[in-house]
Amino acid sequence: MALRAKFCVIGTGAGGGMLAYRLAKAGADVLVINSGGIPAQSEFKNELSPEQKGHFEIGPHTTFPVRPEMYFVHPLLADAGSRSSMECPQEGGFRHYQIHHVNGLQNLWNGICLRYSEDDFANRHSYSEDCRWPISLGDVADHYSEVERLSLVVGGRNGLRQFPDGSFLAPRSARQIDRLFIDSNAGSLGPDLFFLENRKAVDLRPDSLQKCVACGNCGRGCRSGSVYKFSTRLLPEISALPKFRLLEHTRAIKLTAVEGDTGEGFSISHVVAIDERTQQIVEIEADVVIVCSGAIESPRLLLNSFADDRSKAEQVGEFLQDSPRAVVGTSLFRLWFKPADEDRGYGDHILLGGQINDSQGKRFPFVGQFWSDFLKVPYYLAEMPRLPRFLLETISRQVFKSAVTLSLYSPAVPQRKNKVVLAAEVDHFGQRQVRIDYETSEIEADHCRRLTALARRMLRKASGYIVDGVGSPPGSGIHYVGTCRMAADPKGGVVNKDLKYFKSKNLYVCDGSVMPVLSEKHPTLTIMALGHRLAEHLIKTYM
Amino acid sequence: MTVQIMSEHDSLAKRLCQVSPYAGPIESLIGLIPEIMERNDQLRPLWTAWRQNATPDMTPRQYFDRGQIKVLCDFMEYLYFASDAFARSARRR
Repeated sequence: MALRAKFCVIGTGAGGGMLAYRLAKAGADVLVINSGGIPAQSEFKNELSPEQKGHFEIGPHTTFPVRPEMYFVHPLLADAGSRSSMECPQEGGFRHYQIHHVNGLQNLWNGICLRYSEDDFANRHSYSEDCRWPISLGDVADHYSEVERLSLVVGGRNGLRQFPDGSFLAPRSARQIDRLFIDSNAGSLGPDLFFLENRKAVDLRPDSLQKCVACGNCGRGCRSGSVYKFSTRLLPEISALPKFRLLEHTRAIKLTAVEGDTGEGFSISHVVAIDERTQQIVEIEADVVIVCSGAIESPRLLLNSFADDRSKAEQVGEFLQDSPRAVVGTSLFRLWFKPADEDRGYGDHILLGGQINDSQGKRFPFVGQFWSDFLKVPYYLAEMPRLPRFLLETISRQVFKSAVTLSLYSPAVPQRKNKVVLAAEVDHFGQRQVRIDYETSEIEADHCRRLTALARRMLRKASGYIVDGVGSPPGSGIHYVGTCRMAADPKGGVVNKDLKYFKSKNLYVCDGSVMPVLSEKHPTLTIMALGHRLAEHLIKTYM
Repeated sequence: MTVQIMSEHDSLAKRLCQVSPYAGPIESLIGLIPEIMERNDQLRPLWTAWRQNATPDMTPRQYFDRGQIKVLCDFMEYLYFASDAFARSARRR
């Protein structure tokens, strides 16, 4: 099958979805291809589908207790076998969470939206001279606002340099459990500790049909559909436009390059894709190709496409970064035997951030999320046979309603040796998988230790006397960036500040991979803003 | 006959659930528990042993050891979080 389009967008994650939407709204001829299809409506409702109800994703080899990271196991998550982009990781190796469906990893997003600050874009906290932002906050600010408006971000205005304000709808107010945590810790780090309300792309409008009932309870993906997703929020607006096309279940396997003679580098003449259901090859001729497949899959496509001429893929895959984080949980004793809030709910209503010292006395920024959470059944209580059953159950409920988890994130340390490289194994479609070489740096490990100690202190102040640490293996931050980083010149990266591939005339990249530095903040809003910014650039340049 | 067997299984499953504080919320799933346990490598031996050896006056705590009770509690906790009961309780709040 042969198709033709002005713009071919590969992928519908945070960057690709926003980019496709803006291009389509401008009347552009856009063809979007995506591995996998639109997730079933049942994924966006509070009720589980009959299939999910049947076995609750409990397979023959599921082991109890289910590991904390297994709460991320979602029916949409690709396994680590032949469907995956990467080889099965070694024990303790980098684990790549990936979803072959429309929206990509945003299917699991819990909606946290934090703008990068002037300091972030000015590389003030960068740990590598090789990775520098070539743009400033001013270049992105308007796009942040537009994306916040489109994704219905709720939040308070705090006037903080580290966390720039944006175009927010009114936030949800703090709950009893949040107030206890805030009041216990206010002032504990002096002026360097901030609490933020919400800042999440969660539809809380009273007249919304998809109202969130458990704001932020998204560890398994938002069931209510109120957290922003391309497929539920923006796609319905553009799907009927005559020049917009979305090909589901169509996986890009190769970009065909043609050498140019104008000194502007090679051109991509065709995107070769495969229909995942029929195995039929689809050839797409496009004036402009934008790869938006994520920080693992995008370099994989580029490395596979240019395997015969590696000079075309120089630096691609290098400097993979993921958020270092500390995760601790506890039960807040002061909430025991108190009536539950009407709006207690679940999820992270408040965010926090600030700066602390590392072991060398150097300040580093952090950001965190605090949420009331799943708690392991206190079986040790149920194991006390001498206590009457009604008392055991009462105590269990008290522990359960006061359960919280605190996650703190620090900036990533870019390292050239952390990279995505082609592996020998091939996937289900015969395309080479990738191997991920990843090593946590000493600085990141130090930050994690400091943040773990801080998180424990903060929870203890809020009456969490027994604090559990949860391991955070490489890849579990699910903030993958850096592998096609943007730079001011070709020596410094893979794409320029307009996200155009340095070596090509008509190839662009737009996803987490273009972010050169991962700050302590969650990257999704920035990826969406970069997608919106690229769309404006393409409209000006090609329409 | 089939109904009778299912009913017996339900009764066994219901008694098994009493090890967990989530016995109440997951009561509507009792009918699924034998099937889920049968298809899982870790849970199958527990279910088989319980089905074959439980007497009417026996509680799971009398029959299983501490480690096995923990596995059962973890399983039932997971069922609670994975089920509509969790979403319903969230909606009520």
